[in-house]
Amino acid sequence: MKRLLSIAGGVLGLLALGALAVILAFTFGGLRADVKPASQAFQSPIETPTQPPYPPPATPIPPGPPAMPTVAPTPIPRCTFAARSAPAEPATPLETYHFSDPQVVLTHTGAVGIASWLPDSQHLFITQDIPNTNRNSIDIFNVRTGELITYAERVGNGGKPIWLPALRAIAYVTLVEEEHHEQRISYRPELWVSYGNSQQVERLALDALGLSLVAEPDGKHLWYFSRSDLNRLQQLNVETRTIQPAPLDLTSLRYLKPGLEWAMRDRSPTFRMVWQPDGSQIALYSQFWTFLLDTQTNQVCEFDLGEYISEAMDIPPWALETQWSPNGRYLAFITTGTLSVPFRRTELTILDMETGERRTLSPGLDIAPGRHYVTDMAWAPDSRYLAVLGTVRITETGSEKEGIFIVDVDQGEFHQILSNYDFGGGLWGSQLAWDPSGSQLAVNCPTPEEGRLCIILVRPKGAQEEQP
Amino acid sequence: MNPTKSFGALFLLFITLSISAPQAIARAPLSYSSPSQISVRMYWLTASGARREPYTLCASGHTQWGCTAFCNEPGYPCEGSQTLAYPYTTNPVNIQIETDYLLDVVPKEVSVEAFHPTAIQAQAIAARSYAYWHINQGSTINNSAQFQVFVPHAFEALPPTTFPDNPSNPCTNSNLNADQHIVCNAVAPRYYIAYGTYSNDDLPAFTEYFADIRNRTVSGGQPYLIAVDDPISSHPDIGNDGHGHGLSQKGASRWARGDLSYNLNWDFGAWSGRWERAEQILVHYYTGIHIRDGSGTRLTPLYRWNPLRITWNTPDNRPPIMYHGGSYPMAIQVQNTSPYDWPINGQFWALSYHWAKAGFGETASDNRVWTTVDVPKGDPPYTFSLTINDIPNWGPGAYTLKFDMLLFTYGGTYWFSTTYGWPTYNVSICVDGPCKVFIPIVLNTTMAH
Repeated sequence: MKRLLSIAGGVLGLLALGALAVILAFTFGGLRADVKPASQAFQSPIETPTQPPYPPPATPIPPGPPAMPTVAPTPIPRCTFAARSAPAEPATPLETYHFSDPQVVLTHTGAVGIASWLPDSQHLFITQDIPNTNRNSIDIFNVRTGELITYAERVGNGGKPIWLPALRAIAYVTLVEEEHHEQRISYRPELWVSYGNSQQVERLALDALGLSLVAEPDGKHLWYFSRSDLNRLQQLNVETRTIQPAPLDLTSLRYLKPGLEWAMRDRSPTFRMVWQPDGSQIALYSQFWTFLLDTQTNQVCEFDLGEYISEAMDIPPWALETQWSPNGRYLAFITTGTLSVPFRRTELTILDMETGERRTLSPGLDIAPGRHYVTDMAWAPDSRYLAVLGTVRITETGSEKEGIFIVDVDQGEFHQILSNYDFGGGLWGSQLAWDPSGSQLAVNCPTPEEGRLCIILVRPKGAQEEQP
Repeated sequence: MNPTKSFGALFLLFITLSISAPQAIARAPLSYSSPSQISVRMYWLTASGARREPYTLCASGHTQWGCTAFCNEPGYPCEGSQTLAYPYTTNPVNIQIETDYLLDVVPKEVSVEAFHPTAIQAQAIAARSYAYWHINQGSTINNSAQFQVFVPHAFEALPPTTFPDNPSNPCTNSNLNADQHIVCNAVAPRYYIAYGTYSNDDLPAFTEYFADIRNRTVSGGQPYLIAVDDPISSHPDIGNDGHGHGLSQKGASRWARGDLSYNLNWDFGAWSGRWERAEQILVHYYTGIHIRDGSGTRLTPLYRWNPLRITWNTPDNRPPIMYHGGSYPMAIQVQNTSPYDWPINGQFWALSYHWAKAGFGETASDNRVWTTVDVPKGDPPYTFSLTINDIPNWGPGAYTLKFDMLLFTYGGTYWFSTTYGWPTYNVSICVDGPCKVFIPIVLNTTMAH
């Protein structure tokens, strides 16, 4: 009898695997018809699960929120990596670089946010809060001449604006008042584009979460989640303005994890995504899951961002922010084990996508026992070094101040530079950018009274320094 | 009468009165009145709870974290499904402590899903007292971690997001979710922690608290913030988190659960003791304080104790099945949680117990183990070793062993429970077993007011 049951279980398991394959093919099939060839580095084929498969759900999964399923865990395969380490690309040793003293290139009565450098390494894409309002301007700032061109004004701070090189335009999310009842004001996030000044703007979408907004590496498509459907990506062709919901439905990926039901039960965290620079992969991440999606084969696999130490953490480490290295070999994450803000600590986690080697680092100092924060990160163009902001002290008036740490991702070491200076203290994730030439770091250096933008020149030792 | 001496005496009296009169005024009995409102400066915050630079005050319409939990910013787990603006029209904002401030502070300080409700109640009392202390000091309070992180709508954001029908007094609504109920229950008693000497002994205490620490807390800058042993916080995975002064948030949850894990959803193994009342947790972490209610009435007695560790001398450290006529050595490590030391000079302090069983009443044991050294308040604890050898012959079944401290003076013998109202520590013992059902180690501990 036991044997019969075992055989029956095996048959059911095979059926379940078949059903899963169909679901995955349906889910990810045709995600992108025009994807580029997959990177050779990606080595995450779906493994045959060794554990008994789960039975298929009895009823179709309903679309749209609430997203949290009540079914048993879906067997999303784990990502696998090459068994042995590939040699790191040769890079210039860190000690041969010289970092100039920071120079304040912009001051503002409100906060300044750094979005990104433009490809020319001369223009910096920034936001400036307009004092006493909930508005901020989106500007292109010439770090050499000081020229400032305002592209748009928006309401709220819903994610970084995105440069669209093909259109020489910017895409951004702004808030539109939706309901104003006594003191309760609610907003709707809309996606807009600006072609160079605040008058030449155009609405692209009525419902777009700024936190999720990304551009495809070729700049032709924008991807985002809408508020009305946190499980289905929207793809917007920036030239034709057409919007297509992607077939990728995250409902099937939002499975309950054993031991974490208590935290996951009533939460439907928003997913964010980052494209591998060559367009072959997407890292999809949220509070409970981190997935890697192969854009050619549409295979998806899951990986962890660290060990779950339940007595020291609320939940397993998850990513607040994720960035691919420019060469696509590494993924860098700012991670935390805290369930909700305020975070108790954040770390830097680096995953070598070739070997699967994972390092968790804590650049910075404890500002109280066990309290340290990594707030921002920016890759150097050589993909060997990563600049991060890590807290070093709390001021008497209760501000956190950060230092700049240069992380050698190959060695897993970090060194503080310019330790006589304070940086950061503003909005996490909007305070640091390394220019495409590798010769300048833009970093926020505010005071309690005003927003400030600093430039640090990065030069090989002995080379003549230029003024920004 | 020597006129010179008389004049001198009068002069001295005048000088004395001149000096002492203002002091007498300053020493006049003060009756502390609990505030109902708090004034808070509201700032944009970083994800660590610090004020964001440049310092930016929240204003109507702002959607930054710190101004609202339903924020819309990168890098934060803002509520993705909706964005709500800063709900106040002024800054600083004057708000009700009970129906607004604490309801949003408590969920930011502890995870309502993971912490034991009794620990959340202790947290609410500590947070209230901390606010009272700052108000009483005249501090310029803000919403950052410099004080206590206060983010509007944090109560409504407790998952699943639920907006009470009556926002002005959310806890009176019928449509609250489970986590909101827990927070409301924690805040409801309106107790605060007081410390001082008569007649200022009703002033709020500076009740610092922190996330976690292993084995022992750290002394702070107040007489009630002395380092105390915290043996339940002994798991090797515990990492020190925070300054270590006063209440350990995770330690509080471990004591409330009687488990080595703070998290309701994990079981790392039972500890030998469990405290069921928030008062027991608070007097453990804050030495010599009193709990007072909203009208200032003192709720805690002058004589108190907490069991920190019980050693049963069994392989699993559970109470053994006992047989009448048998002899069972055990030990209890006791913390003096009173506002006073227990000296051995003229007073005598002992640990003893009562036996109780339904239908048979209760009988006091003659076994009494006396302290042999002064036991100071707070720390260090004192270990009583005793042998239980007087088991009543009431037939097989579950008995209750009720541990209690007693004070003997020339005036009489005073049990801490019946005389002063501090709870006994009750343990269910299977006598002349086997017993039919599993009985938890700890039974109800009741405060006899």
